Parts: sequence; C-alpha cells; structure tokens
Amino acid sequence: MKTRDLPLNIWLGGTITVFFLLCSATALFWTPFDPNFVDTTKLSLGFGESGHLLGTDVIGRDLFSGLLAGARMSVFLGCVTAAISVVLGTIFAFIAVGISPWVDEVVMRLLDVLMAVPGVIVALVIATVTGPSAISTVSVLSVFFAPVIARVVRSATLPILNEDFVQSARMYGRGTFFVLFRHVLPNILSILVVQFSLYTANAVLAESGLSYLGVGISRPQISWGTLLKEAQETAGPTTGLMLWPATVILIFVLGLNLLGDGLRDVLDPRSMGRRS
Amino acid sequence: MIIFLARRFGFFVISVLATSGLIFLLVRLLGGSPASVLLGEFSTPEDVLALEKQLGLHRPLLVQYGEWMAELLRGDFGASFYSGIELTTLLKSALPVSVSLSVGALLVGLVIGIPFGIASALRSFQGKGSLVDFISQIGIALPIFWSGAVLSIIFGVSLGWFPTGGWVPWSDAPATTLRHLVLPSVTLGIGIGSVLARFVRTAIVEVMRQDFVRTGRAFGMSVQQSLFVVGLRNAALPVVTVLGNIVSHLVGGTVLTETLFSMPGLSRMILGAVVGRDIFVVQNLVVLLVFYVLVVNLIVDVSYYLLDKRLRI
Amino acid sequence: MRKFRNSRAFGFLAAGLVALTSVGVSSPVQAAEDTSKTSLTFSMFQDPGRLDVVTQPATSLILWLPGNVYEPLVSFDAEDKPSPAVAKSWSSSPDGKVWKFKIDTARKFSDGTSIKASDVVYSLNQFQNGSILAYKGPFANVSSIKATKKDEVTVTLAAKSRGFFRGMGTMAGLVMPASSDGKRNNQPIGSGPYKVAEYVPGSHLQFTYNNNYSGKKPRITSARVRFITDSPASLLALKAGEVDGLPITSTAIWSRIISEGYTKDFRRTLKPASGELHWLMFNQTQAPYNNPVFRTAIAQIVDRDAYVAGLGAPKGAMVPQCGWGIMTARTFKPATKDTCVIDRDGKKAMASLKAAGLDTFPIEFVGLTDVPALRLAADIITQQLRNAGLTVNRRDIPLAQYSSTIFNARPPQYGMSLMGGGGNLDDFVCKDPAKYGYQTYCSSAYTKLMQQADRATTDAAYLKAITSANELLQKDAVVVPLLARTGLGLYNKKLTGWKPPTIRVEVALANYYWTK
Repeated sequence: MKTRDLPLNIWLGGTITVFFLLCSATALFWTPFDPNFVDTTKLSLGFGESGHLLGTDVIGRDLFSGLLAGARMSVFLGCVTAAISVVLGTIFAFIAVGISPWVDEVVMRLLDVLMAVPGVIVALVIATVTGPSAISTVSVLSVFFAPVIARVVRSATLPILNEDFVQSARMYGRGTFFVLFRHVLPNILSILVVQFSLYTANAVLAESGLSYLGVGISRPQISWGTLLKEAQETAGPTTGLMLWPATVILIFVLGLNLLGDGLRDVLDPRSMGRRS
Repeated sequence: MIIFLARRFGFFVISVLATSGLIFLLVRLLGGSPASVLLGEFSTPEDVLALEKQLGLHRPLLVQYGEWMAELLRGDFGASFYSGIELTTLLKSALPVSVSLSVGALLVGLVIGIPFGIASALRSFQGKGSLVDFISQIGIALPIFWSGAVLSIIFGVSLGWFPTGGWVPWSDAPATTLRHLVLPSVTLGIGIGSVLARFVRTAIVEVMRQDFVRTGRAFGMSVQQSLFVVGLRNAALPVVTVLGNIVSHLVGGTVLTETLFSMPGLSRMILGAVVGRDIFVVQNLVVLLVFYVLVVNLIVDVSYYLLDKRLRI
Repeated sequence: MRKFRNSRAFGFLAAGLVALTSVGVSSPVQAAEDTSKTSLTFSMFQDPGRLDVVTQPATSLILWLPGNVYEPLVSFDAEDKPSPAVAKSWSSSPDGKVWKFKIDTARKFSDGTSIKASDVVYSLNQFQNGSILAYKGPFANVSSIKATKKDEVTVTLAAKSRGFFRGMGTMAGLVMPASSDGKRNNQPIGSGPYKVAEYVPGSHLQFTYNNNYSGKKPRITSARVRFITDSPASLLALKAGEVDGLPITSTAIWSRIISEGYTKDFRRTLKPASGELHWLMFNQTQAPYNNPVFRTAIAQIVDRDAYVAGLGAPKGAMVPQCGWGIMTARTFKPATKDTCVIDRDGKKAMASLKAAGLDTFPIEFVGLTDVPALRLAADIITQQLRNAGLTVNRRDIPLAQYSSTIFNARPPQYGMSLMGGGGNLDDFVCKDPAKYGYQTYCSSAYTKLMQQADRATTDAAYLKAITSANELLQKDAVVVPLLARTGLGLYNKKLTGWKPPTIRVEVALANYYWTK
C-alpha cells in the first residue's frame, strides 16, 4: 500500500500521537520550569507573561511545564494500562476458547458480570482502601478494560481456530495453546494493535477522570487530571487553568481514536493474507 | 420462558452476590484492615486493634458478610465514621440531585441522539455519512470536563444565560433548579446522545435492508408487517448493548459532571467518603450503585426477551 | 463627520454632568431599614454533622449555635467588659476563690421551660468534663460547682483565676437545659434568640425566632444556612442571588474574590475576631525536631511576607507575625525586627544546620489532601524550605484522619505540619510533663507564667505575664507562627449589621437587618 493511499484517519491520528509522544519524551529530560516550583511573585499569570507560555496557577506554578509533565505521566500510564489490558484480555480469551466450551461459558459470564459494573465505582473502592496512587489506577483500569478486549479477541480467534491449517496442525498432535500462540496470535496481532491504540485513549481519559476526582495521581506527581482538579478547586472550572489541560486531553484522545480506527480500516483481516 | 426468566434471575442474584462479595473482600483484605484505613497512617497498632474489636472485624468473614447483607436489606446503610450522620439521611438530599441530572441527561441524549442517528442512517444509505459519523465519534470521546468547561464559559460566563454551578433544591425554587440543570444535563447528554445516535443508526440501517422484507414475505406477511416484525426484532438486538453502555456512561459521567458543576449529589457523597477514607460509607454506597446497575440490566434483558417472544410468530 | 464630532462632544458633556452630580452626593448616606424583609440565607463551606457543641469542636458548628441558639452565663463585649446574660448578677469573694452567680430564672429555653440553677450546673459540668481541651481550660482551678439556691450557682476555686470568669462568656459558659442530655446532636435547645427549626445534613440548617426569647426580638426572624462545600460554587451562588452572604470564606478563593471584582458588587467584611493563626508545628518527640537549633533554623528560613503574598489575600486580611495569637489577642503584633524574637536570616540558618549536620536531613512534612486552602499554603512553605536547600518529603492525608490523630491528644507521627487555628496561649499549658497535648511541648516555666497570668490582680501584671509566655514560645521556636488572618465575609450590599463575635467566632444573626 502506498503511503499516499493511507486514509485521513491515520494521517491525522498518527501526527497527533507522534506529537504527544515527542512531548512526553522531551518532558523526560526538560521542561521550561519545574512544574512543582512555587513562585509567589508570579501568581495567576496569563498567556505569555514573564516567560510563562500559558501562564501560572494560583501559587505561581508554570502551566505549560505542568502540561508537559502531565504528558509524560498520562502517556506512560495510558500505554502501560493498555498493554496490560490487551495482554490480560488475550489471556482470558485464550483460556476461554482453548480449554473447553464449559470453561468458555463460565469465563464469559464472569466477564459479563465484570463489564456490568462501571469501572469508576470499583476504582473508588480501591482508592479508598489503598489510597489513591498510580498503581491502583492502572490495576483497576486494566481489570476493567480486559473483559471487553477479551470479547473482541475471542470473536476474532474462533473463526481462525476453525481454519483448515489449524485443523491440520491439531491433527499433527499440536496442543491447543501451542496452536493459539503459534498460529492464532500472529493473525490477530493487527487487531491487538488497534485495541492497544483505542484503549490507550480510554486509559488516558479514565485516568484523567480519576485524578480529576481526587482519587488518582496527586502532587508531586503530575497528570493532566491533577491539573484539572487544582483548577476546579482554586481558579474555577471556567478558566484557562481548566481549559488547557482539558483541551490537551481531548486532542490526544481524539488522535489515538482516529489512529485506532484508521488502523482498523487498513489492517482489516479481509484484505490481508494469512500466514500459516 | 420460565426457564429463561429463572436463568436470567439466577444470573442476577449471582452477579449481586459476586460483586458485593468482591467489594466486601476488597474492603477487608486490600491494604490492611478497614480499621487502619479509618484511623489513618498515624494511628497506633493498639488503636487499630481496639477499633477492629469494636467493629467486629475479627469475626469470620462469612458472618460479617451475612450481617452486612441483612443490614442492607433492612435499609440500614450505616453512618459516616467521622460525623456520625446516617447515610439514609444524607441520601435524602443527595439523591434528588443525581436523579434529576440523570433524567435531564437522558432527555438531552434522546433529543440529540435520535435525530442524529436517523440523519446518519439516511446519509449512509445515500452513500455519504462520514461527517455525521465523525461528529458522533467526537461526541463519544469528548471528555466531560472539556465540554462542561466550554459550555460553562460560553453560556454561563460570556452570555450569562445559565448558572455555571451549584444547586438549589426543587422545594425552594423549581425554576432556578431547572436553570441549574441545563448546562450539566447538556454536558452529560452529549456523550449519551452520541452513543444513542450510533445505535439508532445501526438499527435503522438494519431495518431498511430489503432482506427482512423478503423473509417476512416468505412467511406470508405484508411488507409493513415484515418490516415491523422481523426488522424490529433484529433492531432490538443492539438494545441490550447500548442500554448497558448508557447506564455505565451515566454512572461514570454523573460523577464527573457533579464535580464539575459542584452539584451536591450522590457522587459528591461518595467522593467525600473516598477522600476521607470513610471506608464503610464507600462500601455501602458502591454496592447500592452496583445493585442499581444490575437491576437495570436485568430489566432490560427481561424486557427484550419478552418483546422478542411476543414478536415470534 | 460633523454628526460624529457633535455626539462626542455631547458625550463628554453628559459625562461631566454625571460627574458633577455624583460628587455632590458622594457622601455616604445611612440607608433606611427595610422592615419588610425578615429572612436571609447564608452559605457555609462545611456541614457540622452533629449539633452538640459539647462534643463537636468544628468551626462549622461554633459559627452558628453560640449566640444564636445558646446564651452564655455572662456576656462580654469586644473590650472584655462583662454584662448580664443568663446570670443577672454575680459576686466574688475578696480572695477570688468563691463566685456566686444569680440566675435570671425569668429567662426561658426555646422549649418553654425556665432556666434553673441546676441547668447552669449541668451545662458547666458538661464542658468541664467534656473531651474538648479548649473548653475545659476555664475550669482548670475549679474545685466545685453547686446550685446553692434555685436561682443561685456557687463556684469554688482552688486559686483565683481570671480565666474562669472570662471563660463564662465563652463556649464553656453556654447554658443548656439538663433535659437536653443525649438529644443535642439533632435538637439543640437554648435560651438564645433563635432555635434550630430544621437540620438537613448535606443541605442546610434552618433557624427561626425563638418565641420564648427574653430579649428584644431581632429583625431577622428566619435564617437558612446552606452548606455549599465547594467554595467557587458558593461565590457563584452569591453572585446569582441564591444566597445573601458568605460570612466565612475559604482562603483558597480569596484571590478570586479580588480578581473577579466581588469586592465591588458586594459588601466585604474583615473580621479579625473570626480569623485564625497559621503556624508551623513540630513533632518534638522525634529528632531532630526536638532540637532547638533545627527549629530555630526553620524559623529563620521562612519568609512570611512571601507567604502572605502567595496566598493572594485582600489588603489587611492577612498579617505576617512571629508571635502566637490571632489579631484580637492582646499580645498580637505584626512581624518586624523589633517584634520577632527570631529574625529572618536564611544564610545563618543553613550555616547552623550544616554545623549541626542537619542540613541534609529529610523533613517529613504532612499536609491535608482535602482542604485546598491549607494544602496550597503548605506548598508555599515547602517551596521556601526547598529553596533554602533543605530536603522536604510531603505526605498529605485527609482532614478527618488528621484531626482524629491531632485532637485526640495522640502523639503525632509527622515531623512538621502547617496548621490553622485559634491561637490560644492556653494550648501550651501542661501540668503533667508526661501528658503534653498535640503540640508535643511541655514546659513548667511556661505553665508557671500562664498560672501567674491567670491569678494576676492587675491588668498590667496579666499583660506582662502573657507577653513573657508568648516570648518563651518563640525563643526556641517551639512553634513558628506565620501569619494572622481575618475572617473575610461577603454580603449583599443591602444586608448589614454584623458585629464582631464575642463568645468565640459566632455569626450572630440577631445583629443583621436589611436596608432599602
């Protein structure tokens, strides 16, 4: 496929994603100011004042540096959560499909129950008990994304298992799990990539929400959600302090969604050959 | 039919037991005992031990679980550890806020979702449609804190048409309450509307496919009958998914919306308890919410099944 | 073209006329009272939860019940002059050890029963034996409280005590019926001008005029206090006219109050008596916080002016100070080179820390997660310490847990913390060296000075004793006071009449009235 044939989705989504990844990478080494640095002489500055590109918050911390630091954290957490979810989901799906129809039924029902419960709710319980933290956020989100991914993986796996080349492998005495990993996995890789992209978006959104509510990341660690929370408590939700992080989240999530959808269109199994 | 209902209800009971059990275990086993959570990091081991005895946490888990379930069924939701106020009292003032917001958001969602979905379906039928699709996709992805902030700035601050936060009880000044509901309902309703739009679109596109007419005709039905009977049954299929989706969206979205617009609803209560590590309040409120979600799902499933049964010739 | 020039000229003329006329009427005219409006709605950022003043020390409660629902035994004005309240007269023996109070039995509680001496004894015992240390203070030297006649209460002291008599005008002197035992969490009954008509937790507190009140009927006969925990939302409610005033505002929104012009559209009140003190507290059961060199260095590092600037307060609302006490304390003085025992000297501080090997010690600083005002304040101080080169580890915990640890007289396990509070010198009185309070400080010298003050016969002697006690606190940086702030209130311009609180921090509803 020629590059210029790639749909708009991938172009736009890809550019946005790459831009944010670059920002996160930069933030690993450098930010214009220390985002936690309190400067009482520079309170609530506006756009571009005193060298602060996007101004400062009520106790003088630079907003732009905060956004960069937030990118670092949110991107990282988003990717980690998505990765864990995809892995977990695939494992669930393989267990369901690979052992017996009875196990399949039980596992799927279990996952149904998990899906019926809004993840936010259980995240709150865990945050109460363990105290809000990055780890509790990631774990809860992974556990709640995994069932949905499991469903997708399962429905993609089933038809493959019925393929001729799989049947012949089985006849040769290959165990089910061998078949799953050797034959099925490579063929669903594209689906996993798409899910990874989409769920990074979901994870970023969810983590921002949790931190915004006060049950996720808190200072000295910074995520976009933390910035939102501080804006809500001090300057109010109708100010730039709120709007900037919110817009940044919006763009990144949109970009990831576009990329995911675009990849899904491009990597559609129907247009790809199979490897056996 | 009885078998299905029994199975479905059985599943419901198992779900309730499983999720309440899960929450029960999370509360008691994660991160030390509930007593240490309540007393905080700076408590002494003796204090924790004393509180554990007082709260009966040393008894067998099954006994505690049973007692807890019995209390919930009695309607006793316990009290805040710090203020001593009973949950049912707090719920009296918090529930109207959350319920009003949910209803408002659903209404807005319907008003946005159905026309949008129909338009989208028609367009896709005509071969266009990517723009409307794109818009509904954005609608789903829009973070509530973004759309809420933007709406507040435009309609609340600049134009000054609606208050940008707060709440006045219905009993005080209903007209003012309505004004307070507008911005939050629209904010939350956008997401719901987008989900609905997608469903409506899928449903209509399916219904409009000719195959259904042919199938129905083969069964001896008229064109209208077949469209309605066969088509509707198939259109009803995504109902379960979408309603489950909407309920999830509502519960999660309400928490964010209530925080953004400073509405003193259920979410504010839960969040206050979470931040204050008031563990049993969180436990009970969460179970209440989960129960509500499971009940809605049960009703939807059963309704769909009954609808399906009646439509079968 | 000509039209434009003419209209501009006309504009200037019109403006000039308006300016002239406004100069003519620029002197403030006392607005006439609007007797038709007898109700008001206030906003409060905290829900008290329980209404029992004996067990609930929360500010959210002591703002509303004293003075409105309850009356004290003796009433003191802003100059500490006593006047009759529940006690219509009193006398003390020449040695000051026996006090007799004549109870005004014509007064009635809101349930219609008249006040008896036994009720007064009951009330005093409640506070004396209660759990709140600040309320027990006045009874430190009390050996017995008896109802010697149906309308007379006799209090016997082991030693004369100024604190006792003055205490009868504070929380410890509030009078409640003995029959209210066990019912005060939901049904507080007092003899004040108002009664609690309704308390809906999470929503509001409703006061209505107490028909059995013995004093003059107030102009406001119905008052609702709405709990709006979100401070920015309370500002919006005020702007929209949904509430008539915010008697107490959180410092987290003070900068917004100025920047968004609230002080123009609303009457702003600065109430020193409703204010509080900010200070840094150390856990003196641990090293190196128990080392005066360490603490002194911290005291030398903090920059109070920058701290006040960082909190963005309106002019006059916050004053840097080195001594202990709120703005209305008799020993209060703003921070200057002359009033501070320990001066600001960052370099000297770091040098002395280095010499003691303490400059790399990681300080454990505990803040609050859910009180934005104090959390931000702690952020500013933390930054100052870090700027000086110190290592500070921040840990934030919820207020509920912070309070239950601190105020139940447990040894705190933090290293340093920033607190806001009433600034009573009594807080450091420590009779038993093993039983210091949350301040983890016990000094017999200090306790002696405070006892001297309590027994002082002249005002001058009293002042001298408490000034010495105050200086003692500063000498080894037992605590590091930072600033005193006033209570900042915002009101609808037509609502007026507030007066400084005299019992503790109460918002006395009976003082308010509407103007046209």
